[in-house]
Amino acid sequence: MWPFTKITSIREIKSTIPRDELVRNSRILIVDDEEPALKVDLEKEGFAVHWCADVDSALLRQIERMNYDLILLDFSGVGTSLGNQEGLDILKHVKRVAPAVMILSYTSKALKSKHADFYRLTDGVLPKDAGIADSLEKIEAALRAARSAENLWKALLNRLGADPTSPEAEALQKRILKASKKSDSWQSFLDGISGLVTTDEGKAAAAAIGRRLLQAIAAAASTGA
Amino acid sequence: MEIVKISPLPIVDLADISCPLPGLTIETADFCEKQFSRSDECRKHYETMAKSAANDLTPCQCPFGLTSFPIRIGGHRLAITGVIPFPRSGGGLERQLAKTYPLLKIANAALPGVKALLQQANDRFDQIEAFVANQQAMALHEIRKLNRTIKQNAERLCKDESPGDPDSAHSEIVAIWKAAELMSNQFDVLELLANEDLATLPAKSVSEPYRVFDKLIRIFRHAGTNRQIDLKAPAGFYPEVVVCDKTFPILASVLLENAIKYSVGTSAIGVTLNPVATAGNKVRIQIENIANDAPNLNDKIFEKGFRASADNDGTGKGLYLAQLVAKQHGSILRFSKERANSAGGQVRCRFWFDLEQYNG
Repeated sequence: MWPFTKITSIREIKSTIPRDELVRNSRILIVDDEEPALKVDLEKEGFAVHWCADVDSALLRQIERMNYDLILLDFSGVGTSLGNQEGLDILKHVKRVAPAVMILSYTSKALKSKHADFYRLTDGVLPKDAGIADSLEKIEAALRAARSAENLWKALLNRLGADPTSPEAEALQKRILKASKKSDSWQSFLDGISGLVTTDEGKAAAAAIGRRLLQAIAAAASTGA
Repeated sequence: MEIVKISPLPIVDLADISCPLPGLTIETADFCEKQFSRSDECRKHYETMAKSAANDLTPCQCPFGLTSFPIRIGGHRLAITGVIPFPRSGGGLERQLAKTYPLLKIANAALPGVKALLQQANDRFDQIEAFVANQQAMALHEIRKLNRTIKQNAERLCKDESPGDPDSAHSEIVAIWKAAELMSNQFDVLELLANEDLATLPAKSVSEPYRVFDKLIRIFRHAGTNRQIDLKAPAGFYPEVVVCDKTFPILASVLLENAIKYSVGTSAIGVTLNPVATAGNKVRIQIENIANDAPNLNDKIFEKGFRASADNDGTGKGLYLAQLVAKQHGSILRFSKERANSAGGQVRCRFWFDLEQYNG
């Protein structure tokens, strides 16, 4: 793949994923104690949607490995294995281990003041009683944001514990931009990234984010975005 | 404070001093009522008690010979008052009153029991309040779920019938759909009213105010509003702003609903979006309508519970919430009125706020 545009900063890359590609490649997880009718609406649009009544350790591992781009997260009746703050416990856990995954709060319950963090920490709010068209629009926007190079870059730095303004981050950005031009060098680059993380789960997560990021940069370069 | 209404003895709320309220067992002596209305001495007696850090049930004699006892219930300072204790506080006035009002006599040893009774009642009130609040939240949740079912199924029906333009499907189903949309807006308002902390959430989502208002206007039209609503912006001006998607629609819906509710005759409502030339990269959103003037129609309309006119059915909370949301978005909702050209007694009302444009 030959780049048509010279990219000097990941932040300048605009997300230009065609809708059909977005629908085809995105994976959505709904965590809600009741299966919502919205799942069928999303499937009719062609999205891959997985619903679960609550999370378990196997599902959390899948989330950490970037198997989902977006989570619609209910508040009540979920997160029972993680603590007593229901959806807020899941939210905090996923934000820590899978920072690239977008999370929309998905509840129709009027939350108490002490639970306002649930809205504060999510990437957006999708009310359960939102209209179908509005919901689809918001979900597509969240998926675009999830797959944007900027989000993936922030998530990678987060996962590596790197300060975005540090010289190390600047050096890493140069390496990624360089590596993105030659797909046969991706694996060695990803191995290098994994080496910066100590745990096995962390290595896999960092590599998954790095691969997505390389794909996003390469796609942007080829389309001139 | 509710428990003052069920005290067995005369009582005064020291945070809201008044003539002692009658007890259920011992009523306030007419002597007390006369003295309270005649002089400031009684009020000063209670003010002194309110400022004092005396322990609960420490006797404090009033200038007229009766005795009060401070108590603290659930963080509130109260005074059991207007009684003649035994053992006596002392003095000639007290002796005289004891002869005239024998029913005011009470044994000091009974007072801890009175305090305990009030404490229990207060705890029970708190439990009932919490229970009612919880039930209301659950009821709201259930009604909201029901409304969601109606709204989303109506939308699906419209989409199935007219995939390209669901708004043009069977008009009665569209009306049900849009009425349910309006209901959702009302639920959002209720939720913000119950939890004002929502107006402190960060703005994270990119939104187009033109689309927000356009959607709302369509909802109102299909739900049965016949009033003309004009949405205008300079050609090609579709600014984006960063908003809190939990609350921003409330600001738009309150302003539009207010304009619809209070507009007179066949006058039109105007919603305009314009760049603000003098304030950097901002967009000004303005809602204009013609309404009947009222003496209280001024900046106070943003105060909680304030109603410009007593003869309307508003709660006085919508504009208060709208102002909260405007401030949440780094703006201030402003209001002005000027005499309308059309007729006396009518004014052109303008609400406006400025938002920073998002440039990607």
